[in-house]
Amino acid sequence: MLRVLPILPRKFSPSIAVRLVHVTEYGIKDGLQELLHVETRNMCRCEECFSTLSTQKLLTDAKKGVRVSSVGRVTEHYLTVKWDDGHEGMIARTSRGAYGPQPVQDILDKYYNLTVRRNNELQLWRGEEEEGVAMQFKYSDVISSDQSTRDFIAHFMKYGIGTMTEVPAERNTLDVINVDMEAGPMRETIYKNPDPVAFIADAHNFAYTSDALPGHTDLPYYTQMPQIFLFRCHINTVIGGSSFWIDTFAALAEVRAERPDYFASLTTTPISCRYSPPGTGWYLATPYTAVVLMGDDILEVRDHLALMDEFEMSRRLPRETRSKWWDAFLYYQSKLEQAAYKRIVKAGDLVFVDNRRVLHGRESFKAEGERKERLMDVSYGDWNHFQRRLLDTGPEKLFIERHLHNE
Amino acid sequence: MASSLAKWALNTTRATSNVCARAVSSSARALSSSARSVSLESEGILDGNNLILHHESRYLCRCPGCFGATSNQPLHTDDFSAIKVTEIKELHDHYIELQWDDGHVGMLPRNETGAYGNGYKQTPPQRFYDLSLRKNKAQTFWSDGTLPELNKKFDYEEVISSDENVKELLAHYMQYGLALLANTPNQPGDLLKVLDKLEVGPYWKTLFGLLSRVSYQNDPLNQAFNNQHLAAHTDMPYYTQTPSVYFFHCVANELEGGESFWVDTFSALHHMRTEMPEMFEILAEVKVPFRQYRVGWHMAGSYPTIEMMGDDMYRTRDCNFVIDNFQFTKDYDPATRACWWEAYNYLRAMMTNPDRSVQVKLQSGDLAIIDNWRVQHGRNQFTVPEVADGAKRVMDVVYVEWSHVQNRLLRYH
Repeated sequence: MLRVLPILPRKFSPSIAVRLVHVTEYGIKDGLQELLHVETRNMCRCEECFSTLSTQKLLTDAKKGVRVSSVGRVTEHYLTVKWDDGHEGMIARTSRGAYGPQPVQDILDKYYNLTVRRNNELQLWRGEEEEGVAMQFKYSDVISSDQSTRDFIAHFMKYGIGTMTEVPAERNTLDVINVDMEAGPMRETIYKNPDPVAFIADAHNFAYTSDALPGHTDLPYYTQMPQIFLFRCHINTVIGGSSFWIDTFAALAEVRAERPDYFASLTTTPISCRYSPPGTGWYLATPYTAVVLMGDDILEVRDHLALMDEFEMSRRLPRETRSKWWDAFLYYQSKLEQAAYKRIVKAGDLVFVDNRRVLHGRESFKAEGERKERLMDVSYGDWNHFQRRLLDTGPEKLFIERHLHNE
Repeated sequence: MASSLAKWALNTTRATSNVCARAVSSSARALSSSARSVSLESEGILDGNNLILHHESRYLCRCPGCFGATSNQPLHTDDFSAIKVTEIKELHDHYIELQWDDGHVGMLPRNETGAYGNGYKQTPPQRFYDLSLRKNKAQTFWSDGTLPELNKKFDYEEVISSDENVKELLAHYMQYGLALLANTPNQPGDLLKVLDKLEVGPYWKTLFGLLSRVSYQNDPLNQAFNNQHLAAHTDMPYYTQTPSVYFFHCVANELEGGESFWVDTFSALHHMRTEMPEMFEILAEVKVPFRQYRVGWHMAGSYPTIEMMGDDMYRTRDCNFVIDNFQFTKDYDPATRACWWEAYNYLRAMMTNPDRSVQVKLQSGDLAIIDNWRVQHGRNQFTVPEVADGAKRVMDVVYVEWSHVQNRLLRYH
C-alpha cells in the first residue's frame, strides 16, 4: 500500500502533466522519454522500495523480468505505476521528483556536471590567456558565506586551479579545509599531513632541493593518485623559485584534434610508475595510462617523467607499442611548452590544484643573504568531499511529494 | 679493469650490498661473464632479446649525473627524443656503459638490480609485485565458495609474529581478493590496533569517518544499518576513487542470522568475457551513474561496471542500492540501456548464486579483508529481538588505500 507523505503546495504544470504517458512493449513512454520495464521497477520511490532517509533503494537486488502493467495517476513530478509482480508504486518524472525540492534543483543545474568533470563544463587554458586562472580569492571572503565557498570551489573545479590569499598564519591548512570550508575529510598519504616542503640536504625527493622541478602531477605511483593538491606558502624570501602550473587538458585537446592516433596511444597503453627511495622503507608502484577517459571526457592525466618506470615498460611492452607511445608522449609534451601560468607564491597563499589535470612545478631558487627562507606545505584533498560541499544543500531532508490517488 | 663509472657503481651505494661489488670486481671479465650479447641496432640497444629504444636508454641512465642516489629519481627530465646511442663501451652484469651522441657517457641497467637503486636494492619477489599491481595472471578467480583456501582463517597472533607472515597474509588477500583472520582483539575500536600491528596505514577517511560501526539502527541513514538481507555489492561506488581495501571486523555477532558472504566478481566477469563478450563490452563501456544524497551528503559520479588496465580487469563497481536510474535515463538512449540491463542482469544472476559465495557467520574477533574493487560482500537477514536482551551484532569497518597495503607487502628494510 502506498503511504502518503507530507503534503506540499502543488505547483501544477499542465504542460508537463499532459505529456502523453502510456505503457509500451518496452516500458513506459512519457512524452519523448522512454523508460524500460526493468528500470521503472528499480526507480520506484514508494516507502517500501526507497528510503528517504538514506536515499537508497530498499530492494534486495535489481528487479529483473518485471513488467509494467498499467500507469495510474500522473502529476507534474510522479507517475503511479503498477507492475506485474503485484507491486504498486511511483516513479519520478523530473529531477525534483528524483532528488527533492528546491534548492536542490538549482544547485544540481549549476554544479553537477562540473563536479563529475564533464569536459564541456571546464575552462581549458594556456598560460594567462584566461583571466580566471590568475584570479585570487581572499580567505576571509571565501569563508564569509556558504555561497562564496561554493563559488570558490566551483572556480577551482572549472579551471583546475584556485588561489586563496591572506590565509592567517596560525590557521593550519587542515583546519581551513575541514573546518572553515567544510570540505573534508582530507586524504592521508605516506607523507606527513601537511608535509613541509623546505630544502633538505641529500633529500629522498627532489621536491626538497632548490633545483627546478619540471611540471608534474604528484604521487603518480599511487594506485589512486591524490586528486586535490593543496600548496600553502608560509615563507618565501628566496631569489627565484617561481611556481608554475600547466593545463594538460588544453594540451590534450590539441593532441586529440591533430593526432587522434597519438591520443589513442596515450589512453590505452598501460605504463607504470615505481617509487622506492633508499632508506625510507617505501615501495609503491602502479600501472596506469597517461590519460584516462570516462566515455568521451578526459578524467585524469598522470604525468611525472621522473617516476615513470621505463625499465618495466621496456620489459613488458612490445617495441612497436613503446615506440608509438613515446612519439605520442613527446608530441603531447611539446604542447606544454609556453603554456604555463607562473607566479611567485607569497606567504599566506594557499593554491588548490587539480592534481589529475594541472601540472605544477617550480623554477630553481637561490638562498642568499637575507633572502634565504622558503617554506611551503603540501596536503591533499578528496574530490568527492569537495563535490559534497558544492552539491549538498544542508539539513533539508529529501521527501517525496504527496502523490494523491483519489483526487 | 673497472671503468670509472663501474667504480661509481660501487661507491655510491649506501646500504651494505655485495651486488654492486660483484658487478665491479667482475668487470674485467664482464664481456665474457655476461652471457647475453649486446649490440647497437638502428633502433637502439639490443641486449639479448630485449630492445631498448635510443631515447629510452637515455632516460634510463643510472650514472650519478643522471640519477639521484638518495632519491632513486632521475635528476633531470630533458627532452631526449632525438638522442642516439653511439657506442657500447663496456658490459657489466647489471649495467651497460654507453655513450650517446650528446657526448654523455652513462650506465644503462640490464636487470632489476641495476634499474632500481644504484644496483644494491633488494627487489621484492615477482609474485608479490604482480599481485600488488593487480595483474590478473597473479590472481586466482574463484566461483566455488567452498574452496579451502577461501575459508582458511589465519591466526592473528601467528600473523603478527613475523614480517613474512604478514606479507603472506597480504599476498593471500591480493590473490583471492579475500582473507579471513581469527582471534584478533575483539573490543569496539580494536580494529585500529590490529591495523597498527599489521602496519598497513595510513587509513582512508570517508564521510563515514575513520572507523565506521555497523550495528542495527531504527530509521538508518544507510541500508547496512538495518537488519535486512543485503545483496552482494561493492562499497561507495559513487566515490571517484572508491575505497579499495575493506577491513570488516566482527566485534559481536550474537543475533540469529546475519551470515556474511562474499562473491568474486572477477570470476563472473571472466566467464562473461569468454562466453558473452558483447555483454562484457557493454559493462566495460557504459558509465553507470551512482549517487548518494542523504542529509549532509551529496556525492555522485558515473563509471562503468568494470574498468580495464590494458588486458587486465582492474576494478569493478556494483551497488544497485545507489545506482541513479533517473540520471541513467538522461545519459543514455533506451537501446543502450536495454543492452546494459541485459548484461547487468546476466552478471547479477551469477553474483546471487549461493554456490559462488563464501558464507561465514563471523565470530567475535574475526576480521575479513576484502578487495572492494573485486569481491562483493553481502549479508543475510538477521533477527532483532522485540525485547532487547543484550545480544547484539556489531561490526567495525576501516578502509585503507591499496597503495598502503602494497607498500607493506613490498617494502624492505
